[in-house]
Amino acid sequence: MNTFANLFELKALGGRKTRFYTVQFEDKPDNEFEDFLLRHENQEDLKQQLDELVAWLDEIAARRGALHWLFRHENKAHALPPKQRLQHLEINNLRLYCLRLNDNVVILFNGGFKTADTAQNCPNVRPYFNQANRLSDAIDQCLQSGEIVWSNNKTQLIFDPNFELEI
Amino acid sequence: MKNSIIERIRARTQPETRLYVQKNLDIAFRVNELLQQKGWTQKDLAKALGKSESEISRWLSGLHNLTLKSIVKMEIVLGADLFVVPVNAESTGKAIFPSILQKNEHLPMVAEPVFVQIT
Repeated sequence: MNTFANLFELKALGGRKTRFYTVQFEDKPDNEFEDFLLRHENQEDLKQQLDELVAWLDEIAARRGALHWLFRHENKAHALPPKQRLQHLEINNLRLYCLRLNDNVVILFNGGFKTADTAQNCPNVRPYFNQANRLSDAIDQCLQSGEIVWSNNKTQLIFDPNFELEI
Repeated sequence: MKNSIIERIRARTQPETRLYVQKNLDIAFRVNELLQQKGWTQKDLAKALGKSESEISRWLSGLHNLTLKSIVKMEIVLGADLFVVPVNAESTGKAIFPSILQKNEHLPMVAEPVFVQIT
């Protein structure tokens, strides 16, 4: 069965240098990035990491830009990786999956506390890793098909307000 | 309310957390600048340090709590200061690295250091 998700900009998080986007599944009350924050917000042992992550995103948005070397690459399970490769941010073992499209645009997905050597072996992050892979593929296809296009200066994504990602 | 979780986390974030993130990114950007000047990649830096590329990628994410030992190791292989403590800069903003270079002439000086005020 196909699943649909809305893509939209996280205006509360973006800044002069970088805009952040996320997705919200039609059957979920929160978008994926907020779900990630909400699930870890009150976990005592992860509070500090979460605060640092949001401070980092604020700093990237306001002053630095989402430069490629700041992001950590995921080894995709697929034999033929798409043009856009899934990446992640991590503090200790707290991992947030994302798709960095350029210095100006990053799509934030979901994540969790990684407890195994690989995402595939970790019950905490495996579902989010797989989901982020599917979303990355879908976004890549939409960029190639023209359902999502770049603004002239490549600082934002343009798409129909009713546009849905199908994964 | 949309984005309220982001606002909640911002509201509880301590000033030292923000400063830590800023300084961590300052160091990461400084290392990246030096790599560019040397024509090195993170892979080259990893090789020079005897570390894995993955570990260096983690170090330079701006999210890793670098130890002073790690910073000093990078300063040695990059041949330049990553930050300068004012007391060692003789209160004039002068870097200490050139004096180290006199004893280690094989280490190239590749760039002027960035001064970070430590209070």
